[in-house]
Amino acid sequence: MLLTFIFPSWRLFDDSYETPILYLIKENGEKLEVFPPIPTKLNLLFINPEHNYYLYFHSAINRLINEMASNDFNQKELMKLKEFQIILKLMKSQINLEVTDQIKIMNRTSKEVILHLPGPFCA
Amino acid sequence: MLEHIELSLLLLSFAFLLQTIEYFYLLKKISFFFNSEKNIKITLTARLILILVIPILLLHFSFLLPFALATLIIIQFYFFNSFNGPFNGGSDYISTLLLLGHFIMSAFLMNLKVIHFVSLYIAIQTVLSYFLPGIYKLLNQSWRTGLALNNIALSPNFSIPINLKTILTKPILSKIICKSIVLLEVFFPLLLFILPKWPLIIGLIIFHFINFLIFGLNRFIFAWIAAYPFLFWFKDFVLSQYN
Repeated sequence: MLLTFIFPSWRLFDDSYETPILYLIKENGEKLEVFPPIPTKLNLLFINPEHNYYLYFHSAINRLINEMASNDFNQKELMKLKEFQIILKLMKSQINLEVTDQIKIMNRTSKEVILHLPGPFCA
Repeated sequence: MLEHIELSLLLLSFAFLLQTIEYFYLLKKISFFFNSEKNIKITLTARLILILVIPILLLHFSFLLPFALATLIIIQFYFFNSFNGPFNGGSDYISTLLLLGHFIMSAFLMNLKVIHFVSLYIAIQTVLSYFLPGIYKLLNQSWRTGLALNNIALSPNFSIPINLKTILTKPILSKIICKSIVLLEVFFPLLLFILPKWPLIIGLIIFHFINFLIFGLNRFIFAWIAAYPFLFWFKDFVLSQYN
């Protein structure tokens, strides 16, 4: 990891501005968007924690999608991925997960479903 | 220590201070990434204390500076390890590069060659941090045609302030801003030597401010400002070789 900081690629947001939608689907079919886009306000110039957390979600979910694109994982393998575990932690930090919850990741612009996983996700 | 190094370290401390306050705001949320909330609270408090004592160490106890910076590096990588990578992309890259550089320079305070080499390396990386994204944008059709910002403004991915959205959705204005950004980035190595110091700094701050308004990248502003003293040291260093 150290080397990536000594020799950065400086490939910053060049091709992927898209932050997919992460939905939590409840047992009754209710869809909850876990990380909706956060509006920028001028008074947040110095301290902007929620937006930075959203940006972290943006990079974490894109890392998961890139990992999924490079390999053909079954559900068990996918759930073991560190990238997926990070997404789970992000979700748990935002929302209370229940045994019956499902996860759906969609492209925000095209509405294409990238991933649809049934649970359970909580121990 | 040389003036540009001291100034950069103070600016970096300020950037880290703001980041640490943000982490404190997010304490409950980010505690999921660490063993316990207590653990992260202790780590953040240590980080905050170290950042606050840096100016004192710099002025009166410079022999302690390498230890403080080494501890900050350990904390930084403990965070990256817990987050499975950087928390805030580019700003983490530039601020960690600066932190590593400052650690090496403070450890080799008496060795002017090491200080020059590290200063040069940071300056070149800072130039590349503008130049390479400019090249990547140039390879991207939507940036070349000037529609990138228009597309971003219309995208449901961003919640841009309404006034800025109105500007960016006007194709002619979007084109002008897009092309100005690409030109600024691609010609940055040249602009550094052509433009006087303050107009360039103001131009760069405006550029980062637009990025903040569109993408919410507030950390980028303060992290990059901390690298500017190396840029202008580099400019003076190069020009002095030819005079």
